[in-house]
Amino acid sequence: MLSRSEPTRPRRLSLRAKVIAAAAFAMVLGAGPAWAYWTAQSSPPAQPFNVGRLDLTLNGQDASVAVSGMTVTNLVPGNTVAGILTIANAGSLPLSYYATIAGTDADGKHLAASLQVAVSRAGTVSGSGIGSTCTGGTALSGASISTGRLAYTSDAAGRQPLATGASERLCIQLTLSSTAPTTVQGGTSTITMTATGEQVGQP
Amino acid sequence: MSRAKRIAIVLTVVLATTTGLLTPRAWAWWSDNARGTATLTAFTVPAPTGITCTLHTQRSVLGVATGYYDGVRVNATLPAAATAPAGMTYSYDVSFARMATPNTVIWSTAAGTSAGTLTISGTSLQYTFSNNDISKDQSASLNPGIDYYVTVTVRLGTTSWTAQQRINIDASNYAGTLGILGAGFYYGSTTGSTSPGGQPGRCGTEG
Repeated sequence: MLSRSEPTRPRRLSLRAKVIAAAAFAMVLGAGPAWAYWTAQSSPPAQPFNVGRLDLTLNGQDASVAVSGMTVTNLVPGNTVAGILTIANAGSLPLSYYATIAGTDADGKHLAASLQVAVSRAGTVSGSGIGSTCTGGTALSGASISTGRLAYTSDAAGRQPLATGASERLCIQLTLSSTAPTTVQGGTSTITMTATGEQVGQP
Repeated sequence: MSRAKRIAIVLTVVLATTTGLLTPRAWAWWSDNARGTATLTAFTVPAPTGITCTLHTQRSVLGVATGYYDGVRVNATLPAAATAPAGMTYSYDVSFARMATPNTVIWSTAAGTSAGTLTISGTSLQYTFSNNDISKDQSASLNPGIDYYVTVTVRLGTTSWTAQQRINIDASNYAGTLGILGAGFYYGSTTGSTSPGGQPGRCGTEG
């Protein structure tokens, strides 16, 4: 007697099985074939491949440097002190830069908040220590410890271009405001001026 | 949606994810920085030191000495002029204020008033008040316990920077039980006063 078997319905893969299969497939694609084809090669003459270098220095230093003539004591309202920052492009790529300024207030006397900042491009220092001032050059407006701006701005349009090998001299003058409150007495602040160079083309 | 289409979608998603993971990240722009530092320290105006008060001219009633004096002197040592920063000088003022109303300066050399006598010799400052000065402040009522304080201030040039020292003084316009003797200064009263030298309310006495 012949029996008739029921037709079997093809079993459907679950979604989980499909994802695992797909991942395995992708891994195989990513890993590439295990076997190696036969190849032949010839080496062309070696070609030099140099990576450019972006290097900004401040007064000839790459990291941090005390600005000459700008460490003073016994500052009183109205006193000034000035120093030079020479920002140079010591790398092999053109850059554009901007500079910021900030002051510490470890003793809570807010000395930095009473300091006024003036910057002149290509200016020179007249005098030394307390009483020294910036003379000549072109004044750059907008410098302020409260806003953190020293020279130029961080946006692409606001930065100052500096070609390879070029440098720019900024004269920085700090003045203790004549209206500095009596609570500022005895205060100490370390003022940090940071020049940042950016690769040309960076937004 | 057909089965083939569903599989195609799943494969597309997996491949896109894998491609995203294998693709290098977007590169960072290069930048470099360098810093310059300056360290500034502000001047400190030196405060007067060694502030003291002394009573003088003891009052007597019918030839009998009382515990009241007609005058008081405040002495202090000022900072030497040579300690002032270059181009700056010190100036000094003395103020006499009622303790009960601390913001009320009754007499002050800074305000140009003429009460008392100020003498400065080198670094020695002496300021003398009399019972007349007390009477000007307390003439309306008899008060056996009036507390004042005297502040000696060193000012730096024309700036607002100052340093000061203070001493407290007990006074009265009701001298003892007689009530008719006018103002004077207590000797020995400590009511309500704390002087900086740790001698509550007491001024020393002179001869």
